[in-house]
Amino acid sequence: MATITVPTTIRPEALELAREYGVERELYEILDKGREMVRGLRAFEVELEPWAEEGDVCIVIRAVIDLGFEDDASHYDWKIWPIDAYGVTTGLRFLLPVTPYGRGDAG
Amino acid sequence: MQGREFLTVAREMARGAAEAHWRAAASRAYYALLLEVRDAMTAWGISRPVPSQVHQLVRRRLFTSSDPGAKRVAITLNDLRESRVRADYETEVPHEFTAAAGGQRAVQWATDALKLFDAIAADGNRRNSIAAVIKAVLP
Repeated sequence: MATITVPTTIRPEALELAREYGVERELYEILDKGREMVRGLRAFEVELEPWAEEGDVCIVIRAVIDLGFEDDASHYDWKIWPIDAYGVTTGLRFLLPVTPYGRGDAG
Repeated sequence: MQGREFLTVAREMARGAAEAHWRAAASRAYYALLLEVRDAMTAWGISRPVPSQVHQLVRRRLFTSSDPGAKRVAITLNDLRESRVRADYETEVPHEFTAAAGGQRAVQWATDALKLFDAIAADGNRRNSIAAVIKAVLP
């Protein structure tokens, strides 16, 4: 599938934490993979998890999709890709929700 | 009490009339799956996580296995974690919780993942294989 351009918002605090975790390159690679893989993709929103009871806060890479593409098989393929590509420790730095419900501020 | 009993509560909440119900549905759905997996792994002879590590360790253990079903359950747990944290803490943003569908979606995820996990647990060879890998890495 050809790479497409989609509105992408990366909140500064998320980028800062990615640098602190040493996963900035992986963050951009996950976004690139998402542009290739996620069907129905409308936007990306990258932000911090609002809360974590324990351990480290995750970096949320939210793929906002069009209604009608929910539960497409491509979404699972993208979500599992960081675990397979980088291993569990790095993969668990990220949460990759795919949803029609974004914050609406992408782009 | 079994963790899956929270799924009954989650279904009731998803049928509720207000945003607070739908958010509570997402929260209970997450805990239904998390606690069910935690307790099953304990029954498989893997150590019970201390409360301060349970959210991280259960996901990590599922991903440690190379079993595709276990990984799928782990991804669902990730999705439910993200949904649940927004439901419980990010109340200033409506997200998907402007309609009952938001809660129903989380309930469906947890239901499907529990069904898959039950199938794994019922298959002795598969279960033992997964448990062996986890015990070797995260006993």
